[in-house]
Amino acid sequence: MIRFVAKRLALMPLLLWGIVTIAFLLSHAVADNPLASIVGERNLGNPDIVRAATERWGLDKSLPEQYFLYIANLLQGDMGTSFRTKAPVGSDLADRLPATLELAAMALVFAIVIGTLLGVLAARMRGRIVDSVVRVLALLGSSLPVFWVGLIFLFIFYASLGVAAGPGRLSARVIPPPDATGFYTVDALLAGDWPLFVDAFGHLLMPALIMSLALLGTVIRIVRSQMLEEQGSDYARTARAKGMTRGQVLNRHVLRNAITPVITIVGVSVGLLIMGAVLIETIFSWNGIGTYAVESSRALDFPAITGVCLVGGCIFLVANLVTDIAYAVVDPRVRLS
Amino acid sequence: MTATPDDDRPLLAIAGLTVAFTTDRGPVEAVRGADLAVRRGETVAIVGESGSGKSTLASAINGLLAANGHVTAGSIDFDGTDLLALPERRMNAVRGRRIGLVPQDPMSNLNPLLPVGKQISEIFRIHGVAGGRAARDRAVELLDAVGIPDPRQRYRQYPHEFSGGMRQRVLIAMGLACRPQLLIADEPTSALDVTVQKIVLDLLDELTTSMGTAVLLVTHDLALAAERADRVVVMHRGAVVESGPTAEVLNDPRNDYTRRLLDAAPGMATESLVGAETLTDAAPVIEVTGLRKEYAVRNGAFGRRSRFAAVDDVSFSVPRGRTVGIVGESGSGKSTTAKMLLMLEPSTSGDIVFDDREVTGLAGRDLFAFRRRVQPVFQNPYAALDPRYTVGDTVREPLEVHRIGTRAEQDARVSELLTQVALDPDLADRYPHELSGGQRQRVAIARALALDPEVVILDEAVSALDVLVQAQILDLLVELQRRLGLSYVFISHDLAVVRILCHHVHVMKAGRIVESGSPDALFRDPQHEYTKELLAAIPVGTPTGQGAGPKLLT
Amino acid sequence: MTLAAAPTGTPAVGPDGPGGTPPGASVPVRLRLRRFRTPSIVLGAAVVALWVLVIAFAGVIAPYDPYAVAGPRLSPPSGEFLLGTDTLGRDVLSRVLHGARLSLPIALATISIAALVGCVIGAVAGFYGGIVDSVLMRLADITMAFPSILLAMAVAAALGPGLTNSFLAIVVVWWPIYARLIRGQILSIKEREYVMSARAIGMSRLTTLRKHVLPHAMTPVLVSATMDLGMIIILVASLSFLGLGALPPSPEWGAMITEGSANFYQWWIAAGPGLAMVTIVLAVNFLGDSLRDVLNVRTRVR
Repeated sequence: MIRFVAKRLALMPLLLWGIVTIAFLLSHAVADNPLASIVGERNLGNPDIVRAATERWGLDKSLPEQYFLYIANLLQGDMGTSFRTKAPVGSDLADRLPATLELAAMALVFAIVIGTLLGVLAARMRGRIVDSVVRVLALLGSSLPVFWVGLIFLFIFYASLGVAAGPGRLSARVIPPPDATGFYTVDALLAGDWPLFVDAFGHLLMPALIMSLALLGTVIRIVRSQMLEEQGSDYARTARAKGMTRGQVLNRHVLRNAITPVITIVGVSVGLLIMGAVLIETIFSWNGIGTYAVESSRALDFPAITGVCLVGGCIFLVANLVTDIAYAVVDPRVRLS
Repeated sequence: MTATPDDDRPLLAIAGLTVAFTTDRGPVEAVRGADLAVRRGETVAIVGESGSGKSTLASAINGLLAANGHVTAGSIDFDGTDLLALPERRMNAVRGRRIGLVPQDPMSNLNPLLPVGKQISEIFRIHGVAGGRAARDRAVELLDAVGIPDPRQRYRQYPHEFSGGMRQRVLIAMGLACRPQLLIADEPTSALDVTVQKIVLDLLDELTTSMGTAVLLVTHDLALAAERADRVVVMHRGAVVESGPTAEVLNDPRNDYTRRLLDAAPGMATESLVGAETLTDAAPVIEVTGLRKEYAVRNGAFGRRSRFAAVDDVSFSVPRGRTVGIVGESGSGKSTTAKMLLMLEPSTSGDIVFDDREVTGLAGRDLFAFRRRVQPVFQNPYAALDPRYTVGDTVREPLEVHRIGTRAEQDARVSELLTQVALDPDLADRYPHELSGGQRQRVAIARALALDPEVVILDEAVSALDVLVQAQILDLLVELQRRLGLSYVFISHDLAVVRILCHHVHVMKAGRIVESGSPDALFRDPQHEYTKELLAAIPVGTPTGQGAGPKLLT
Repeated sequence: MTLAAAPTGTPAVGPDGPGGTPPGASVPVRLRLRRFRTPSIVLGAAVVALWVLVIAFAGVIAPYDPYAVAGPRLSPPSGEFLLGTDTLGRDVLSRVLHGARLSLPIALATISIAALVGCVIGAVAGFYGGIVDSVLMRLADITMAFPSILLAMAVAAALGPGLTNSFLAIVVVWWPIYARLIRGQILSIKEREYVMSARAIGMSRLTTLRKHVLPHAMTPVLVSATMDLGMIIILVASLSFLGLGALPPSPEWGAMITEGSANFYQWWIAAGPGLAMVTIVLAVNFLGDSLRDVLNVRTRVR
């Protein structure tokens, strides 16, 4: 187990290096002069500003030089300086990461809990109305464009009905809790500020639910089909031959076997969650990595884009590692090597 | 238990049972009007080929038919209770407690995510026999009773940590946990090697005898049924065609089908199909010396690579026009040897000389030419033919690859080949899924013969077939050998088949040939310990000394 | 797709008279087709067919020119403008209908090219193994570790916005999925006996791959591609929505929704294109899901 983790951790720098290299090459394949996005179109005519910017971002150096400089800085924990915000990319990302993680974690919990429950329900009610409804629901989950649903839901539940919280992480004029974890809900609880927690949680609810939709559909489908498959397995029949009722066999034997694959989905779906984050944050004015990525892309802010890709890759790799370990814990057959 | 007049009544009495399955093509009757009786403490075997309805009949007894199956007629009386009329709740109390089950496949019948001990002790909890520590202790006792060493340790281990034979013991422990009156054993050993099979069956015998449990043994193996059962029930196409005391049925079968089944089953007394020619009368077409195959494996926590020899210093020769058998259990290296002979896998060291020419390093043109002369027939008639191509395409393919003849000539040759393996040439337009297992194997043989090879490597070529079909294919192989002068390398785990088909036999164990000789000599007077063990493990096809009557109750 | 034409006569697999039918034709194919006539497949196919008609005849069906001002600005849905008008007074319905001509072909092209590239790479990796396999699969790992939308965004940012660039960006992100899928298939099919049998008659590796391995590996790819098509449609729209794909005044659905989000209270601007997207994606997913059930393909988990 330790060997396995060590091996995977050792492989991570290689993959991250690949990601950085691809992002770097992409950003330098760009035809546009990045100067325009640094100093703005207006100042392009001013040689002093242009020279200062060129020197600050090392744009006068050759491509390999820039690359090695970037890698060298990266190894020291320096991800460069954003063209757009003029702040270090590392601190920009650190500021925004908790918001995204809070949203994604909530969405993940929704998807797994609701998805598993509905999947089991559908399998147990196989062929009945409930089953059909859940199956259509699952397909709908993977068929809805999240950004559109976000927009429509905001219009209906916030603007028209007024039953849901609006965009943003907190209501207007509410002061964020003292920064401890960066998760507003957690920080509010730590500060003992109940109304603040309710406000933060309310703002989290709708975006997280919408963000979970696509994953929810996948979880439902996998759990349902796994349940059906495991129910027909030999060991389930043998358990019946021991004198167990159908319900006992389901609870004691089938359920656990059917749910195990969901763990794998979680690892794979990190990409899906990040995609959701980018879109949902844009719709809900959520100041996280997603909006940062979109704004950086629009502004051709390449140090920032590379930084986002690096962080995204890290999250993906760590999530996959955790998934594999979790799988090995749940399934005794899996031996990590 | 005291003897009461009730004991004269059978424990289990099935009368006129009909089971139908609803399928896309309408209802299909898997069991038709079957009658069956099992008395207390006796062993009754249901014998039949695949599709005979024997397993369906067994499933009907404990009410575990597949969802689309249902009993349409007949009755099942178990110890005075009509099982078919029993509500589900009360049926649950019968299952596991009064009727135990030992299923077929030890690999798939244990829940992979639960420790084996828990899977046994839960039976006591369900039936309220024992709970908590007591249930655990009883499960440990059971593991001990079925001969699992370190039962306390093993209790906590997971199924994948057990070998196939050990898992089957666990399943037996589960089936007998509550000392049931009846145990249904559905092909309990067909997934196991023959030596393990004997040990497991002996154990089953011993335990059921001591508990006074009656056994309903479902099997395709007539010899096994003969050896283990007091009475035999023969099923064919869903109907019981014959039943009676074992000795009576075997020695004096009244039904035609039973008779054919008995004739087809190769036993240790069956006449050889090839006669007793000796080896020296033919020159060798293949000579293998010092053949070795190593695989790199990781072992231990440190993952150090070590080398494992799947085939280790194997030497033998194949005389032209003769059949050389290689017998061994799973993992003996016999199939790896076959692949090396076919040049489908490179050997690590050693020589293969084919027709006076070293062939181990062949490549390109030479290898292509070699392929024409040595052809395989594989085990699984379902996997050996590409389902996307018709029979004709499959048989023609070797001709196309080697550019032999025009299209019309090829068509003629395909017809000729199909006729040669006793198939209707019109079958050329059919797809494999439309054929039976025996027909597919004939197609595979026709394809192997298309290039006029000199040597055919038969890797478990008849093992997956029912006994009647197997006999036909064996006859076909012998006839082809006589007519075409073919040389065979026949690889099998089945000693009885090897004995009647081969001129010379090699016994393999753990990658090495441990004993060689003519089948007659080898099987009459085995020298090596392992050969003796193998021979002793084969069901001999005669009832055991306990007599044909019901065993005494304790 | 011909789904309606299977005759419901003789279900049995029987001899239709000696030599009457050419090899490969007749009964099995017809039987196989029948399995596809489940309600959800028919429904999904009908909706898809409807959209194909829309794509073909958008110019005829659409009441107005999608680029021209047709009436007053921001008028809600009415008899005259069924889905209302946008900020410039263009008819939303006409724009939605014309938008189908962008979204669907782009998504189809994307998935086809991604599947093709992935299959070629995966097949090479799976069949040749060794170092080739290692290098290609590490490359796939890196690409997959790149969260797809971020990579797509980086590509789109580097190449500049535009539908062609979204197409390229998504292909770059999506091929490893198919490469892995087909590689896994090939590794398992390679061990089947009929493949060994083909090699034993002297068939070359490449021919064996083409004749006996790839055809069997394609079914899951086909199902997977159908199931991914919906997601690609959404992804294309997402990139446009973020301003990295199609740009105004293009009637691309994602770009139209961006316009809708800028005019939040004029809900109909976003509602039209969104609903259109949901119907087509739902139909495609219905198809994919049912195809998977019918063809009995195991859902890929990773």
